[in-house]
Amino acid sequence: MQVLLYYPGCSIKRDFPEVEKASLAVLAALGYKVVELRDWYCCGGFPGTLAWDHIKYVSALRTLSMAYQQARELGASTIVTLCAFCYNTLKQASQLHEGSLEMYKRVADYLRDEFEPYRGGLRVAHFIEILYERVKEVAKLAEGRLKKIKVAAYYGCVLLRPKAVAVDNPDNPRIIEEIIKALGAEPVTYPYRTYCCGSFQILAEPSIVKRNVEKIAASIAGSGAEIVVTPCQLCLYNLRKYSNLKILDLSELVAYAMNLQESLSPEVLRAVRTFESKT
Amino acid sequence: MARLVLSPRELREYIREHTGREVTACMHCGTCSAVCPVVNFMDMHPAALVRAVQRSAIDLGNLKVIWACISCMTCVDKCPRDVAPGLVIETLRQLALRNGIEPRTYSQMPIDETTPSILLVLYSRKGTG
Ligand code: SF4
Ligand code: SF4
Repeated sequence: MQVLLYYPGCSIKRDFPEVEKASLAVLAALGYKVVELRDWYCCGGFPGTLAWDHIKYVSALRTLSMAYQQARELGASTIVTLCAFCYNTLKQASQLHEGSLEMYKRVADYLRDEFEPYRGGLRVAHFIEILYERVKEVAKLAEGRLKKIKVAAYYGCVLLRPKAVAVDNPDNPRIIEEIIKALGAEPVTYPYRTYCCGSFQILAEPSIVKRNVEKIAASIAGSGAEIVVTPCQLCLYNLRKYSNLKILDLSELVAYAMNLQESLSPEVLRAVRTFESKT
Repeated sequence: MARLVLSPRELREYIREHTGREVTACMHCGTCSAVCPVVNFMDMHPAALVRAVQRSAIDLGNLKVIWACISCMTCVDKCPRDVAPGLVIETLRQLALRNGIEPRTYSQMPIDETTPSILLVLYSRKGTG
């Protein structure tokens, strides 16, 4: 059985336990043994601000050092995240020794007293990459359960930018649409699927998020979608705050299609119940 | 708000030192402004900022664009001359914070127990340099 190391991050544990439950159920159904890191810290999470400040990599590299040790014990080679920001931050940190060598050395020197510095050897993956790699098995387990349902994939930006860490072609990503097809459902196309929702400005300048979400929602409304899925929980939060879209975390729709109802919250089950008559 | 006025030369050198990018490489194509998802909320759009950094002194205390940018990195990926406007903006924002220019403090945030941790982390990062 293939072992996946799992890095939860602060927001999944505190704010989105339902996403964790659904995602872990899906991974287990696909035959993975998922092992949560025995020790982890907040990733330090704002990938966009990593630009030149080596201090911002300390937390993520510390986590990768610890993960690498545990991965060796378990024979694992992949560390999976459910949060788009954790993914992006850890992924950028995992590439530091191949890119900005000077910055890497400064952080590694700082961490040397604590750990053997991380020097590669782990693959950082987001949940949707694992799903996509196993899309045939997903299709088999879903048995076309979501037939005839129109689903909009909303990617957001954090899994696609900067392009060095993108999970797919950032200008025309397809992997969520392929996963939707594997569930038997029909992905719709609409222009704003990778348009940023406004991110943390919901705290500082909410008018930015309100306006961006309205644009995204109008674009989705024109596509005929019955439900929206996103792999980013901040997108989920912002879109729920400023639109009436029926929106789920991608993992929840996948768990539903794979008949893993016991992993889903009553709200999700209520949201998807309308599909029962169609399928 | 505090004032911090820097000449084009000081700005260019600071940006080069911290990002390794060269603002004078900009060919003013406007791509960065066209792809920016929050350009409507900026006092100076990304291409105009890059141009201004090359040509005139900038008063960081009066610059709103550095607080509107959400660091989505779209312009960084799209810039044909590798100027990376999003990193230039990020650099100026951190420079402003380090000089005590801060439009809003953490305690002024509308936070309650339903605010996800991810938002607190992101805002702390953006708000502390
Ligand atoms: S990084 Fe900032 S300036 Fe560049 S496109 Fe994104 S929000 Fe706009
Ligand atoms: S995309 Fe690059 S070259 Fe074009 S205006 Fe912006 S900074 Fe200048």
